[in-house]
Amino acid sequence: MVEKAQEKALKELDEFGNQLLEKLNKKEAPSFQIPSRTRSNVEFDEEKEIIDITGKKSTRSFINASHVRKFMQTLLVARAAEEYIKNNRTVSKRELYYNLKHKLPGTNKNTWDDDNESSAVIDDLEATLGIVRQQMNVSAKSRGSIYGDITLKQAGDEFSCKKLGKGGWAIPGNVEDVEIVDYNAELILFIETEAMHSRLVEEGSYDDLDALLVTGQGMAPRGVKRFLKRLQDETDLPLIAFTDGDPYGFYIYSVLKHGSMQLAHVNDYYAVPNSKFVGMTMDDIDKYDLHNVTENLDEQARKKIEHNLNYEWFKYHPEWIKEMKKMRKKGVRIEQQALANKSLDFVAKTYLPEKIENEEFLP
Amino acid sequence: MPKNQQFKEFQEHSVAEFFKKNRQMLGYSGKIKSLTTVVHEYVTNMIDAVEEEEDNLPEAFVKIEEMGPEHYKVIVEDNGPGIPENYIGKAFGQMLAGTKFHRFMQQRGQQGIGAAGAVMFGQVTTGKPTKIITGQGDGKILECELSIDVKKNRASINNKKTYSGEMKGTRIETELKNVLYQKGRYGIDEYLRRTVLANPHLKLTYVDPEGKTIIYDRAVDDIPPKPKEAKPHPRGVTVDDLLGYALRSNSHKIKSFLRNDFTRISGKKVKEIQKKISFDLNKMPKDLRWDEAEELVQTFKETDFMRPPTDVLVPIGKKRLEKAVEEQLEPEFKQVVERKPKVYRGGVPFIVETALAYGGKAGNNNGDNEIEIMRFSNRVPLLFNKGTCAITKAVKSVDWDRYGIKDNTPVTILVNFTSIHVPYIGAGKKSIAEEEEILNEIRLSLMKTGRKLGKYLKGKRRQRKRLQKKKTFEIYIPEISKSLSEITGKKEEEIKKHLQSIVKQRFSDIKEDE
Repeated sequence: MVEKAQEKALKELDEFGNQLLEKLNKKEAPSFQIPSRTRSNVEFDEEKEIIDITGKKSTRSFINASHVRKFMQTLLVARAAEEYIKNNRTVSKRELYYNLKHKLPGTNKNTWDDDNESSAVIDDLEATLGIVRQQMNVSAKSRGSIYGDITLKQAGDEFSCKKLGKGGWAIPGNVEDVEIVDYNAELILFIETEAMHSRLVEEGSYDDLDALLVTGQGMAPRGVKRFLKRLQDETDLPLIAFTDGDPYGFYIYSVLKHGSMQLAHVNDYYAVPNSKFVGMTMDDIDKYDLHNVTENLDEQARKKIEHNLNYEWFKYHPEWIKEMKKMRKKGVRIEQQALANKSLDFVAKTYLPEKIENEEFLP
Repeated sequence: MPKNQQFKEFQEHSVAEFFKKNRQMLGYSGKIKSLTTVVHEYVTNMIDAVEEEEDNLPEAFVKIEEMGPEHYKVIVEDNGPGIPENYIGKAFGQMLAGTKFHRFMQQRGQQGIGAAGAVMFGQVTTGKPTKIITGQGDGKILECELSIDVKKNRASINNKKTYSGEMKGTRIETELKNVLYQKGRYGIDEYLRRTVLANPHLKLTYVDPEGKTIIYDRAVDDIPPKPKEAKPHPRGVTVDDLLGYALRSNSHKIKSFLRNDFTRISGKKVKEIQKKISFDLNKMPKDLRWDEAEELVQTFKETDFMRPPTDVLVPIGKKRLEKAVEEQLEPEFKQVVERKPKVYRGGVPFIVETALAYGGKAGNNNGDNEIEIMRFSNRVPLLFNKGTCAITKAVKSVDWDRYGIKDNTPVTILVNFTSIHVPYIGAGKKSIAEEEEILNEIRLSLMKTGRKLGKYLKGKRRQRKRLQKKKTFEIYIPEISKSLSEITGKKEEEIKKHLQSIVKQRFSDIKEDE
């Protein structure tokens, strides 16, 4: 059974192969174009409000000595992806690496020597074909989970994410074949830490807030990001992020909203530009009198603030800049769990309902 | 005047005395060298003799037999015209009486001492005469023993036998003692190998003392043009030469001697010369004194003459030399340079030919780590006195490194110096004097060969790199073909062929001889 997302991948792979073949038939050296993924080719697209790559492309040609190996590797992965999709098998990056590692006929050379090579080729292929690896049945790491009143279907199984125990449904690396059957919620709440996620599940926030509680356990992996993107797209529920009040937490939010630089070529698939940020903010410290549970910023965190201040997509939001500057000035950070200082249910009964009700968000 | 005296004495010397006094100078020093010298004298004589005949390609047979310790027999046979009975003595028994001495013409031997010296050497070391068998292709064969009557300075011929049989050519057999056969750079093997190189129209069969036969086939089948006789040019003569010519002149006055026996001296020039010199040119040539000859030579130097004609020289020839090098050295790369005739000492024309061979059998035949230099003058290999020779000096003066040629690069350099008058150092005719013009010519031609080889080597290195690069494409073809075939459904073999032809086209500069 081939899903819709995979169908697109198959079509793209097919086109990719035929395009090469066409050149061959014209007795030209086969080549293809890869949108450049170098940092200098990454920019913030203010219209789409995502981090994107510019139009710059580089050509990878069979007859270029410094390209030919990668050319071979790209075809190797393209061929394998087609096979994975057709056989309905999903592999991890590491599996793909081992699966396709072998000696080139008649030589001592390997198709690749380490998984940096295979990873780079997967990224290239994503950029070239304009699809994500999951569509080629190469899954990302599975980490993170969702809890709430939503019924999903995968591989023929239908399940409610409220009836899978306290942990909810573990979001797999590949969510392309996940179908949203039904849901009963007002918003999607992305929670940075797993501990806070558990707390909110235990406190029944999914009911109180009518929220789908999603955690990525730190920086959200591709699976979670893709799932959030699909969820938001298909339900049109607001996505609200709840992270630690530090430069890392805020960066995690920025990735959720505008995408990451590493995945600039596929941010369309991941970024949710209309998401909002509920906290923690520097103002929360004063408002909820959390001064005694802040922690001092260390050198690294200060550097991270400076980095954040320099990103175009941070500058795009004066509020973000203001927040970072406040943080810098205060010299402290505040964790989500510091709210437990008030009481364990403070976050669920007071903090979140208040802020969400009053729409105290950062853009 | 003492020089003049010397010259006269020189003529009066008996062969034996001359030989004894000049033995070393004539090449008979050292056991290995002496043996090589004998072979050299016979072989050069032989080729010159065969070439005297029209339409005859020289074919030679050389055999060295070991008779005992330091005791050998040298046998040289040719397919030349044969020698009439009454000329045998002159041809082999008399020094300075060979046909060559009176001719101003490019020949291998130059002074006519050669064969007689060899006969003499055999006689001195073994007491035995030299055996001569000769036939002129008229059904008669003459066999005799030739020795030199040292007192009368004459050849004596004994045990003459005439019998009928088919033979055209001459066979000489000389026994020698106090000589040693050895392989290596001074040995006969090397001498003959080089002779064949410089005489690509020669077929040579050689049987060494161990009975091993080597046949050197002709590299070319055409007979080289005969060198023309040419009168000496006034700028090219030494005082010695001038006196020698004067003595043999038929003219009654020096005036006419100059006009008749030299090239580029016209009546007008004679008048010009007369004005510059202190004695009367109407005197008899044979009365020319040493100091007068000196004055004349000096005046020649101060007078303008037309350059001598250079068409009298016959080099090996570019194509012939190329073929010879190809045949004998089977090199990977060769470059032959033939320069235009030039003149040294203002009057002696010469031509330098250079060949450079790389790879194959070229280079380092004697195990020493340096460029192999083969020196030739008028196609005669020069094996000895390497250090003093202009050719060696020219080779050493070139910065071979610049062309990527290192000491261990397998390179053979062949230089043939062609002239009517070769400026040998000493009568041994083993090395060429370092005349500036000669040195320059050799240097220039060597540099050209060096440049060409350098270019070739560079190309080769590039080629190697290109080949490696080509491989980097080729090793990926099977994998790419397989993948692309599976994606598109196109036949794998077809894709492979396409890719291969793309690579081939891209590397069309690489020769397909891997």
